[in-house]
Amino acid sequence: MNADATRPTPVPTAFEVRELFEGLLGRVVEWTAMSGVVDPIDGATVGAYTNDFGVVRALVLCDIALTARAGSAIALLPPMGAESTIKDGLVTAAQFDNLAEILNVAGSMFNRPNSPHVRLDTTYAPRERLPADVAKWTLVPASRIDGVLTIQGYGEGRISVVVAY
Amino acid sequence: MKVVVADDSRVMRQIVIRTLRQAGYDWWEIEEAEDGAVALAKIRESQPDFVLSDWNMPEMSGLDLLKSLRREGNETPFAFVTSEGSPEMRRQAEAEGALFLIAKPFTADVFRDTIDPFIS
Repeated sequence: MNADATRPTPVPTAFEVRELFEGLLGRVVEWTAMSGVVDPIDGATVGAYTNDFGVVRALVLCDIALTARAGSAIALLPPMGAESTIKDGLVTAAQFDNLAEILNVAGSMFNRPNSPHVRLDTTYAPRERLPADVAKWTLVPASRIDGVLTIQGYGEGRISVVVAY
Repeated sequence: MKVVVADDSRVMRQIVIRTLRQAGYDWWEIEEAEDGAVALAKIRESQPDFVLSDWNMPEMSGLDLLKSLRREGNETPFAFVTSEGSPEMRRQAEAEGALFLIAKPFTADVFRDTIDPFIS
């Protein structure tokens, strides 16, 4: 527990999200804002971040396209495999595990000096049942950022980042 | 120069190695280890010049790996590349003799700026 936690967990900026993916994937990533949200009902990988008391403080949701494309790009898996995943709607274990690595590092976006310490607690696979304390935050209208990430050579996918309030 | 990179995530090992190459350390001979215990065995066997290790790993954590090495008198230069870099972790790393701790996400510039002073 950060004894100097005097600021709330921040909602990351589009720049920070893009930089995170670009740095980890080692290729150009572009951000486009979107008005919609990533809805787990449509299939999404969900990273749930908790504070030191195990309370959910933030979520990152990546749709199947982003799971497949980022999960492939980070390991230099062929883009064709990602396209086949998107067509079938079923992510591979490797794509999911690779995206989980990205979501683990994404915890750094929520940790600032003077804000409570949070870390990735659980990564839920697309269409996996979400516990109530995670599900309730997925579609809240505020304290979030939603966008499309376009990964050079792989294509685009949608992401939502939500901070509990 | 022989280097051991320890991380339980294969893709993260790849990213660390890729970033090391981007930072100009493409002449390093890198050996990978998938957890702390495997790293300990490889360090004992190949006697590298430098170890870059994750913090949280199955079998043996990065910190326990460092402690084990120092307990047996092995003074191989050691540093952490971890998902978190809290002040407490940095304090523990330093207390056990780690050279530095780089928190993910990182860039080639961060690697170069952090590692270069120790190489020279």
